Amino acid sequence: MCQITSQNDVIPKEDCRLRYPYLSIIKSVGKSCMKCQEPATVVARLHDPFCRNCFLVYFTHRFRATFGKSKAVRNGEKVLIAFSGGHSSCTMLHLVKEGLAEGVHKKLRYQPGVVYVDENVCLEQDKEERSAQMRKIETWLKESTFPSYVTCIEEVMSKCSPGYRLISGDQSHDSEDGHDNPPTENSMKEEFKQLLENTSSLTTKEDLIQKLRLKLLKQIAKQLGYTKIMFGDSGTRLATVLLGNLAKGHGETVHQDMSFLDTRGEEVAIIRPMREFTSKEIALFSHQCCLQPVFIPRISTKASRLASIDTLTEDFVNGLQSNFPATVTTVLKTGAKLTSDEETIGKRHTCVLCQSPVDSSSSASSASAATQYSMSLRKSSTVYSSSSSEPEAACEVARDNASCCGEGDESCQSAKKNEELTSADLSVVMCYGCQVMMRDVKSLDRLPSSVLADVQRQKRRDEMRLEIEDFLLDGSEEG
Amino acid sequence: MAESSQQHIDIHVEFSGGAELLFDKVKEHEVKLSHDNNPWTIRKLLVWIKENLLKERPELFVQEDTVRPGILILVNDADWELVGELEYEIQNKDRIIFISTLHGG
Repeated sequence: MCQITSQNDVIPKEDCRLRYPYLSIIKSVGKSCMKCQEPATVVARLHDPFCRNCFLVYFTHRFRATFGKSKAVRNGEKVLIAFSGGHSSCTMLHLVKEGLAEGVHKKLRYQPGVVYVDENVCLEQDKEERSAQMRKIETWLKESTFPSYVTCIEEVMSKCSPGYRLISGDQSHDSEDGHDNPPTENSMKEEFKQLLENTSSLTTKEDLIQKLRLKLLKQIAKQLGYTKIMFGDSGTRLATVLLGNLAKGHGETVHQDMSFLDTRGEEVAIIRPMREFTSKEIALFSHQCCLQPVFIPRISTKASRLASIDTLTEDFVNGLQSNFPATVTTVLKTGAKLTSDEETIGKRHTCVLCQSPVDSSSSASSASAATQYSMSLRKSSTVYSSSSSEPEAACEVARDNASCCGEGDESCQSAKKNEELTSADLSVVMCYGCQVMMRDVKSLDRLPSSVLADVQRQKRRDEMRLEIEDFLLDGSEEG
Repeated sequence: MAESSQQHIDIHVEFSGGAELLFDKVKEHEVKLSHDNNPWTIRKLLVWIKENLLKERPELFVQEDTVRPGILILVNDADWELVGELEYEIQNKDRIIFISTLHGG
């Protein structure tokens, strides 16, 4: 029997051997744990056999070391945990809770909260099943003992700030915070459904849901005063995301999409502590600790391997990983070396959907410029006429409308509100990958109002900048 | 001279992580495997599961003669790699768990 020392504070109090009496009759093919020489039960990393206790210790130590090494989270910082109910999220929440428990040596003291995003609007489920799932999720949230919130993905369509429901234990946000909303109005659900119906491919649907979910989480984190969001993406998942993003046109942002600390976006950063583990290790850990993940089907759950770029890439990575266990680590290490040109970052706009830098300074001979040109030729003149309309003419039209401010200096918003969003506008306010995604969305006006507002604000800012360009001091001219 | 008694192997099979969706959402199954000349290996069990338990979409569970990559198999809570993978001979009262790690968490 393995010695349980005081450092092994992650072994659950219930001795799982009582639940699994068959552990003693494993017919091992001669492999013993590489640390303590007991019979091995798990193969982790490349081909390293571990016994149960040593595996749990290794896993926990790796998780804490990732935090410690990166120094991304400071003492006392508020960190929001994005919980989805799956193996990775449950494992991450369990490890955070164990790490902050009393009596743990050298713990990093930060203040976690937990949030769950309900995506039932994407894939309508049976009412009974849905309530059973929500009950399990709420049990998880309450047992975490951290302040917990539930929100719905359609809240991203909200015209003011998104609403959420408090599940448990936040002393500082009691009743004064008016956003403890009851379940969403149906209008937002309908708007979200229409947005999804306007996209033809599963790839775009998945991408859009993922980007809007991230946007919603950032808005909520900002509202509640959290400076970081923790995601449970496993190494396998990140390798899939990396390769999939290269295929979808998000090549510029691969480095941030899979790094431990992602600082895109002004106030809220993202951390991914589970990136050191493969999905196999995480599933084994969650099984060994008798955690009970909640499985919630998503739109791509029973899809065939060719249904979308993500499903195909996932199939590819998992297939390769089963024969070559170094696949995931190699892909991630390579991705970590791909960084974008740091010098021009400060001068760029940020994409309204994913907050990545927009490559508006790409040269005339670049591939994206060529694509834009051929697309504009294909669509002929309609694109150019609406985007090159004189600002004064637009205001002229609106002058009859009583709401025009009469300033005549482009700050008038009455005309601009009704302008339709065109794909030419998008090239300035969205990164290349998001533009590619938007080509698949039939009606751009169905995007959330916060996104459309950001687009208009960026356009006005650019137009104003053009006006006063001559009067601006360029930093390099200072003697 | 030959014994004609039919012996059975009783095993417990579980599906989780989303794999249960292919089995009518039933997670736990008690399975009786009838004894014959060939020993019951995991390879043989997979064929049996495909023919008898799987309700839909076999390509999401099995791939050729093995399980789809991304689905873990645990035999009595040990990684199947440690007991011989497809060639492990199933014993009476074994507990075999299939955990799907596909589609996030």
